[in-house]
Amino acid sequence: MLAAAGCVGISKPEGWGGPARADDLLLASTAKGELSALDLNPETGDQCDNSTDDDEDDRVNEGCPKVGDKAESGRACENDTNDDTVDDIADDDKVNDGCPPWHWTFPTGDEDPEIDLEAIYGTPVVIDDTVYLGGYSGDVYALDLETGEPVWPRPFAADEPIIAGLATNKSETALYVATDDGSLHVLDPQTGRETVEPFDAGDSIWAAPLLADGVVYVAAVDGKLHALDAKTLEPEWDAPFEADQGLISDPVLADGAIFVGGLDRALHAVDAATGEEREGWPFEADNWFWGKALVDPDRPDTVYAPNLDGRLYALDTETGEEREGWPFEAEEPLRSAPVLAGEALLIVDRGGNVYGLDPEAGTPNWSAPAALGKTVLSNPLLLGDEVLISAQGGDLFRVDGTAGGVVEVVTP
Amino acid sequence: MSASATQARPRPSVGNLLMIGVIVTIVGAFVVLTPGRAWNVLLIQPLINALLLLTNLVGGQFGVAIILFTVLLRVVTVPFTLRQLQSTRAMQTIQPRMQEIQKKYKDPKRRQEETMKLYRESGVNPLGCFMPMAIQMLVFIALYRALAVVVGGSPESLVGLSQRIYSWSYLSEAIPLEQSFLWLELGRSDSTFILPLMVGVSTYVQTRLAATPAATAQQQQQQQMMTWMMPLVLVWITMALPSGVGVYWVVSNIFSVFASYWVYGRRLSWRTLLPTGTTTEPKRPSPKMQANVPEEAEEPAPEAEEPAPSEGQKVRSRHGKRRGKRKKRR
Repeated sequence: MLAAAGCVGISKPEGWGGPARADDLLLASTAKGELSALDLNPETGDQCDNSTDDDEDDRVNEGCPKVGDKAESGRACENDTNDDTVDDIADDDKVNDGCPPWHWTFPTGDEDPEIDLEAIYGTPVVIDDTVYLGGYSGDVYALDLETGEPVWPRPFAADEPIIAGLATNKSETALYVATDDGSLHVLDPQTGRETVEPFDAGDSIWAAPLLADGVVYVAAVDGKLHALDAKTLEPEWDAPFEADQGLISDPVLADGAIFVGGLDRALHAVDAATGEEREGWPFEADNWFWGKALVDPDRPDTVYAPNLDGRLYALDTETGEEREGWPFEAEEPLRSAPVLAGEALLIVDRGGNVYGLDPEAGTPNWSAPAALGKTVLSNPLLLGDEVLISAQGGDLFRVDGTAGGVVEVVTP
Repeated sequence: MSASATQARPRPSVGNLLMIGVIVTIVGAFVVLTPGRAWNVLLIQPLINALLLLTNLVGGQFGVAIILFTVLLRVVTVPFTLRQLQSTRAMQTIQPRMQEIQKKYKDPKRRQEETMKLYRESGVNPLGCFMPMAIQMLVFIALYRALAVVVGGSPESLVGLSQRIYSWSYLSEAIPLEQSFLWLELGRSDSTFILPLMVGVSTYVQTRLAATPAATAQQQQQQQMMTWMMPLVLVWITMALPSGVGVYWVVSNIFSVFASYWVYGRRLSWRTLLPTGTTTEPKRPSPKMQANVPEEAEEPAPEAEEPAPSEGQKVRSRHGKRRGKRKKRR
């Protein structure tokens, strides 16, 4: 029994929060339960060989590539000396190599009392100069984008794990927090206080709320999809839409329908106005739909839906029929959402294989997938023609959407 | 030869055939499918799906399903459990003579020969303890792994679970599993420490009851250390693991205690649970004492004192006379 206990690791929450962008900052979870603000345009080349803030971002030599065994850090990055020594022997001939690319990390570990977010599942939300994040611990924090310091006097304590991502309305005057006990809270982003009584969905909420046209759509694990007034949280439909089993994928609004999937192995298309399922739907697959679907504004009649059976389905938004040539079959289950990078549809599977596909034909653009060699469950972030992928454990990868090459790796 | 030893003599019974069949099946499957695949397809996945099915059948009460599942599995493996306990008991009965051999023969080769001779005469197969235990361990490790996957404790584990559920939609209805059970959150460790304590106590009791008499003082010391260390380590492990695994351990231990009682019957005394006791037979002197006392003067272990029977006696006893007596005594 001891051997069994020793050999079997019980999975603990690690988090699959995807990265977010705020101007030149990249907000990503680079370690379990931590959020870091990274410089999207770090100093390079000769800029690293001096003690000047060449890119005028108040940081000196941030993100300079590491070449030796030992990286420089702290004050060592702020001079033009090669400080790298291992046992008093020069480690390399580069100045300021390996200086960290992040501006700050939260929590720092020095807080009193200690802050433990456990894990971060949702993508952080940025409103003006503040970033909001919710932890598996049930706490929601508002952090200053520049410094990473908490803005609210105390975090909002939901007391239940936050698995769903946070959401905000178009005017960014409200922050929506859904929890594992089925509560939907609405917070004032300025103060962190609740503005209305929370809505009780009756069962866990694992999918991020969707806001559109003054309505917040909330999918719950009891299979119900609720449409609520975004201000009052009063129901908008006569009755919630009800699937056979839990709805767990982040809902997506396109072409007048909410696309949401779940444990019933089906992707549903629910009329956003009435809460009725569209005719011809749902579409059934071989496993759960947990990844967020994608509808390209340039191709509004097609919804791309990743499934844990390892297939990416392309479906007609009206009829629910599969597009010809689809689905695309990946090597491993698909939890991450697909993204369109230029003319390529990018999808990454759990095994870290990144595929570039023709969005029309569903055929691979590259001769082989870009292998990251890490488990990936988070949603990628589009950065021009590149995508930024956050792997479990905190490694960050930039993948070229055109050629499929891994451009850069940031290891925390 | 002692009556008990004769009773424990391996015979071509259903239990033997069953055990051999299981071993052959397992080895064959592992060869044909490769070990990793066979392990998953033949053991882990069926156990996971059975657990989900049970959860649905008991109205979604995952905690109840774990208890029921553990009991069912222990019942299925009862032939192996009983066989192991009986072999242990048989070993106990020949312990005095084993100690005598240890004392009498200093030459290791001769000692080994005499020991093997004793095994032969007594009809005790030293592997009789090991094989059933190995099979049980295999099943229990599989169950433990299945529980670890199902209990999970994180959204990531659910992604893994999705790959192991059969495509029968009824099974998915158990997801998400009802984590609340009594005072526990099955996917999280028990912050009240009640469950780790229960695991520790039940493991201690079970270990004490399953202990075999030590042949040497060193063995006795090791056994005593294990009796304490095992529960303590399990308490520590349970404090870090999801409570669902702790529930499994407690139920499994309780089942083992009852199985011990079933086999040992009246010979089992709760006094053996006291830290000073060393064996499941409370009146037996410690091996150290035995070494200084002539065998004839020893405190009971009555069957062991009898002179070795003739071949004819052996045959008779194998065919039920002694067994009948034992039944009567019970």
